[in-house]
Amino acid sequence: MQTYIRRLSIAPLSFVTLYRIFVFTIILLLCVLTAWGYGFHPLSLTYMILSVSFGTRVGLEGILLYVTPLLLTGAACLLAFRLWIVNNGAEGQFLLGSLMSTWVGLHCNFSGWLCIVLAGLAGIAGGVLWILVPTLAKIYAGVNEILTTLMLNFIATFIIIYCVTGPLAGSFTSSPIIPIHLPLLWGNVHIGILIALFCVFILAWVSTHTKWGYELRVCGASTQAAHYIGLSVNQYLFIIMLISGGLSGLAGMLEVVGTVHRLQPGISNGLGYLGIVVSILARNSFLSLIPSALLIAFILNTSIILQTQQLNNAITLIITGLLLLLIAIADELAHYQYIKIYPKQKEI
Amino acid sequence: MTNHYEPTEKFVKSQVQLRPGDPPLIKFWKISKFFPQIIANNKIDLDIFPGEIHAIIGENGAGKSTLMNILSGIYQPDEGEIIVNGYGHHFASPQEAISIGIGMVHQHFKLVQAFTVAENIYFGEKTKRVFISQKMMRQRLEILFDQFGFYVNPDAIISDLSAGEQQRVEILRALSRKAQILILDEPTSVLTPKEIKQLFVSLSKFRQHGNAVIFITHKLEEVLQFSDTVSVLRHGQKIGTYKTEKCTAQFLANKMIENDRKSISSTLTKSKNLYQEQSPFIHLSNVSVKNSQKVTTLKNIDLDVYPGEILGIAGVVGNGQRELSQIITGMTKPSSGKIFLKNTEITKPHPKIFAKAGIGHIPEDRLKTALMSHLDISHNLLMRTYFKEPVGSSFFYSPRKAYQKALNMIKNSQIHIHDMSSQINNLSGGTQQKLVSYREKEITTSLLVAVYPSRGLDIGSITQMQEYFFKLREQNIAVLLFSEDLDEILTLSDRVGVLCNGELMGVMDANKITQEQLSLWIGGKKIDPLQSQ
Repeated sequence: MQTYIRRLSIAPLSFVTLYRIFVFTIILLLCVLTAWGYGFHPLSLTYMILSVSFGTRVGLEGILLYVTPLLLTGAACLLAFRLWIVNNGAEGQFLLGSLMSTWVGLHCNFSGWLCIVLAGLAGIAGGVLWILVPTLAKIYAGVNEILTTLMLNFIATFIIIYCVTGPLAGSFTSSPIIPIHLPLLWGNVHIGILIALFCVFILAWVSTHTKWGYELRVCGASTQAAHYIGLSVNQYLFIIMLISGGLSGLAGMLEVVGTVHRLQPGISNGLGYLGIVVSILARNSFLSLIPSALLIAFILNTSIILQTQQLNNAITLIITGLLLLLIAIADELAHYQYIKIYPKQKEI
Repeated sequence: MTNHYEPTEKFVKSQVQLRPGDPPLIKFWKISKFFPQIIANNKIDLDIFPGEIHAIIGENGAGKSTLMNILSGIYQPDEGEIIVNGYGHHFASPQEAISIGIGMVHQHFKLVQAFTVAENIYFGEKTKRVFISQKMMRQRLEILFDQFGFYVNPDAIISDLSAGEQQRVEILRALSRKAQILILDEPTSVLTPKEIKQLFVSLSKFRQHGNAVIFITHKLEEVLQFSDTVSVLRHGQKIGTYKTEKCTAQFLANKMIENDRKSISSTLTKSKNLYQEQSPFIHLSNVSVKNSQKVTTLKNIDLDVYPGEILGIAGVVGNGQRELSQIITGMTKPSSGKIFLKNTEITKPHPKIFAKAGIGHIPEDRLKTALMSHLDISHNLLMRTYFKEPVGSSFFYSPRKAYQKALNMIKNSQIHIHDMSSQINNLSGGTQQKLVSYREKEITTSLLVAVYPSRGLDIGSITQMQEYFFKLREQNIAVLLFSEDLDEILTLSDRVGVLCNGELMGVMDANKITQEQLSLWIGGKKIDPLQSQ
């Protein structure tokens, strides 16, 4: 009998699921052990986290408020990844989107819906503007977008700090409270979650049921094949990157106008970077963004609960980092199959 | 420093005097190699003597590369033996062949691009040392340089070197492993004329030490100029071994090309030359193409393709076939010259314009260019029609209908596929090829550009494909056929053109063209057929 390992070009879904469950279990065990080390009873802490997250109104609201921007930044990263573009700049686009919509919110003299729509457009425009430079640099000069988008995040952070201490300064290091609000659905949960879900569903539909979605798949599959049937990959690259930026910008707008109501330096809270995690968890499917965003939102919400227990919330950073690392390993391992070959038995 | 080793000597014919009875360095004894459906080598006997440069010539698919791969241990012969120094050998791997002193320089260099020359030469060497210092590598290289008159800067990074220099590194690597027999697979295809001369001057120095060189080539001129002995292979068999002094280009060309083609062509009905009464479907006027390195790959092509003809383009691979096929399908823009489709000039060539005009395209590299290797069959089968009813429209695309249509196409084409969801790169090369040609059928209403269409197909499928070409011709559709197989071209085509070095050497009626004419064109000699008669 011979045994050997072979790599499959597509990882079977069952393998992926198994490996991921294994990864989640490892992470859970690590968390429990850490908590134990701090002197908490692991089971009672787990029970507390679960009951607060899913059993109380505050917990559920927190999760839903986190899901909204995560869905959008996740969609932004996933969409770019369809053409093998890594949009590391969702964070910066998020910040610029929130800045532009704050500015509109503060200076808008109309009331009600029109102002919200204008703020939304401004948010999208901010995100688009922030990805425009990396896009043009990639198309015309072949500059790798991984670096340029990442660098622009830091610039965006400093622009926000400048604005909230300068032109848009309100109270201590934040802008004044903006007068417009998104309509609320349930408690603090605003209409933004519906917008985010709508965007995800639209993207899922467009990418499978339109001619444009097919062409996008061709461009992502092979540049040469796209050229062969007369598609210009750069054209799609341009559109995709701008939409990706716009989605992150929209997330920033919803965060400002819906949740925080003012601009402050830490507003993005890593939601842009977590978009990358969400999109990787979703494994190239727009609809899977929803469970992955829920998972990350749950982890983020947990950090708040842990803070109330005087536990350092750095644990969530460690968890998300560890999660990404282990998921990446698990997804690769899921490609491998262990094969046994039995020698042909001679007929007797 | 770089010119220090520039060979100033002239190329000299072998000075190693062989006495009668001296054994050959290598003796091939009844070597045979069988592949499914193909006999690559059939009982080949060949002697390589010390001090000779031995050229092996033959058409594509004649079995030259297979024979050399057997000698270098990449393939194992199914019959026969290789006798080195009186002992029969079976090389299980290239390493064993190297240890006996056989070095192979492949057509596509196998070098680590990011390493320096010295590192590449000593990379993978069998040694007991754990570390090897830069200084030591350089010292050992200097000895090699002196011995054979090659020079390459040992500290240069491979990716900065020209093709000629990279080849020298490959040769040096073989020499550093004490090669006695150097096999060069089409060594001159990537070199400039000056580099070619340098190469053979260095090789002549190498064989003065009693070593031998075997080189595979298509170019008759080089054979006549540089080799001592020449062997001709055809269809897996050795036709003969000759002293180069006694050969002419004409003689060798005749030996290379088979003589029985007339018997095949008479059984098939050729078109009645109706095509010339119509206006050409596509007309190229003085078209030139430059690649990204500003090298001219197509020179001043004038070509007409008429409806209802099969125009065969012959020539050695890499002489502009790819560029010409891309010009005619709109994938490459000409750097100068004009393209006319049905008498209207195409000012901005674009693949969509050509596809709309009914030009189907079976490209050379099907898996990379015509297919999307990681997508499923229905995606790949609909590349040309995804925007047409019933599958799609100017906005919509229905995955369900796409799947149904693909399923129908598979049923009608009688291609055997078990799993519609399998990725294209998991299918066999022949199946991929069939899928592409079947898909292109759908859009072909005026011209089919088929580049090496029989590559990777078994004999049955080739016959099917040829019948399909004839069917197209009956429907007054043109076929532009690129092939490396002269028999195929002469059997199918109404007219034959030859590309050499990016130039169209000429186009002639297939009935009137002679083998000599063809072989001279392929070898790059442009002689007016009327004058020579």
